[in-house]
Amino acid sequence: MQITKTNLEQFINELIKSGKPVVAPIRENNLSAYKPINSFNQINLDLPFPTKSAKEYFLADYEKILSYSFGEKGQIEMKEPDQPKELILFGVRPCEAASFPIMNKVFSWDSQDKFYQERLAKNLVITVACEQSDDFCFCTSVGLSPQATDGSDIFMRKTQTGDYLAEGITDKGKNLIEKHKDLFAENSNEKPIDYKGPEKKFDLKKIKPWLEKNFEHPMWNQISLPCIGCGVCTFTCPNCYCFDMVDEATLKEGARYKMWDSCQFRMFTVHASGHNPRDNQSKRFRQRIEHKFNYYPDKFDHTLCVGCGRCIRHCPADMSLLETLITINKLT
Amino acid sequence: MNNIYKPHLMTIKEITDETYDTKTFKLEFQDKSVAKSFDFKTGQFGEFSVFGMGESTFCIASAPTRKGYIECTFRKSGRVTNSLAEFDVGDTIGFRGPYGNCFPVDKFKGKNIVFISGGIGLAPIRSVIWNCLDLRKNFKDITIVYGAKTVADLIYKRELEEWTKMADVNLVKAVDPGGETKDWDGKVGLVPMVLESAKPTGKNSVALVCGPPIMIKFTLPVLDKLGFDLKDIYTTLENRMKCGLGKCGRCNVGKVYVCKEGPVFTAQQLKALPAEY
Repeated sequence: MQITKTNLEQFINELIKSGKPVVAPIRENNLSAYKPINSFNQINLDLPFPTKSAKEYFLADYEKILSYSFGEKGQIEMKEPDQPKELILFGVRPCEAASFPIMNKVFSWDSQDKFYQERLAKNLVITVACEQSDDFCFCTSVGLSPQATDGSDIFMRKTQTGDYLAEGITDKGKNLIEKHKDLFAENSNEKPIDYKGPEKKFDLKKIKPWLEKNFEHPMWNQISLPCIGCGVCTFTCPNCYCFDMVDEATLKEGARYKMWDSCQFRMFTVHASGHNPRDNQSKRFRQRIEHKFNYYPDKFDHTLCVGCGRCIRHCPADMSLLETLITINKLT
Repeated sequence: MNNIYKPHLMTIKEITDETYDTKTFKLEFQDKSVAKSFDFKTGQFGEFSVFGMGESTFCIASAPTRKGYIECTFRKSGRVTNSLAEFDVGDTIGFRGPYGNCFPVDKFKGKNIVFISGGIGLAPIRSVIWNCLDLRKNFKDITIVYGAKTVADLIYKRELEEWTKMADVNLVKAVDPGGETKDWDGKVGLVPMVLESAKPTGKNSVALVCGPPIMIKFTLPVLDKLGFDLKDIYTTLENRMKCGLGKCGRCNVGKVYVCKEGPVFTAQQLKALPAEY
């Protein structure tokens, strides 16, 4: 289906009016962020990419998983937290959209994490194909592309004239287009902008075999020296899912929360005895790479990286996952 | 959808002071239907919580052969455990579990069992010990080697006495040099050395080891010398955990989640893992 820019504006504004929160990239102090919007005009799809990925709308950075109150005799009354609201995300990048089902593998194997599952079921993702990338992008090296539709409910591609071609990928997406079908027209002969994406920068197939054999390799120490363990790479990553669980309470009531954590922190693995199996930053850096490119593929048959480049773009110590992977390719 | 993070409520029925900083709670489920259906295997663990403070991971220290309650033993070492230590009989705590794999007790049938533990590492081993003692005829010789830093650090003191009195249990208890008292009737020495002089046979035997990493490190070569095969040496890992369900990523070591594929591993399985436990 095809939609003109004017109709797209109306489409989004109608969605906002329908009462469901609509989240899209907006500009804030020269930075970009996924935030709930009040009007189409706030949306800005240009570079730079949103600093934080859209992950927080699926795996909340801070989420109540249980409420409870204390009775007079110390008895505990537990209460389930409210269900998450339906949400529409517009202007999500194809790499980020692809990250949602990849991350779902860990939240749905063996037992179901309802907090992720419910958001995944309720959120509607409208992805817009990339027309540009920056030096840190490497989606094409991890099997994705600016036209990858994984994880999208509706996929949009801009045409040469500024209209958009919209494809309903899932039933959820198709139904939404159907509901607003007066704003869409049949595809004309207009071609979408065919942006090929960043050039392929390394060979993914060679990464895992090397990691399997080189847990102990001098490269790990050398390459991780600048790391200050701030965790920005994991917090901005659309696919890093590790979380902590904490309680907060007053004398009368309290709640248990699930919140983002990072394997880059010393406290992440320290035992009650004080023993820490990953006692230096080099080991913690190695864990991030091994987890994404070796352990996760083993367990869930998918690389835990979509090539969005955020871990490189925002690293205060100029460390580069991309450089690491290229180095691994050279060592192979 | 079920909330997998929602705990069961349990009432503290009994509190035992094990040492100056370690306590054992005997716990019962408040919900009668849960109490009835609850079952676990020796070696499994749970997430025990203090509402308002958070959760801590402890093994279930009682034996599955003893129904109707569970026990946990903890040392004061952080926010949750320090808070738990203030609790009284009748108070309510949260429990999620049982989680993880178990010691394959069925496989030990007809074999000698050597239990080796240090300090609070006796807690998970104690669950297997009672499990095996309750089914005593299934096993051959049972040897327990247990050591702690000092006499004051020994846990389950009453049970150590009980095991001493049992004719079909060989208990070797020890404290580190300098940790003995005048009336100490056990050995003085480190666990690996005490084990070496106790000389249990590695033939048709399994060894279950739990204690500080340094103890395990020096115990493994001794077991090798005694003729134990790596696949007959079991241990339980203590990696930091939060969810216990293979989600939060914390206990990930190589290709396994300790909370799912573990916490019980054989020495042979550990050899295949990166040394991050």
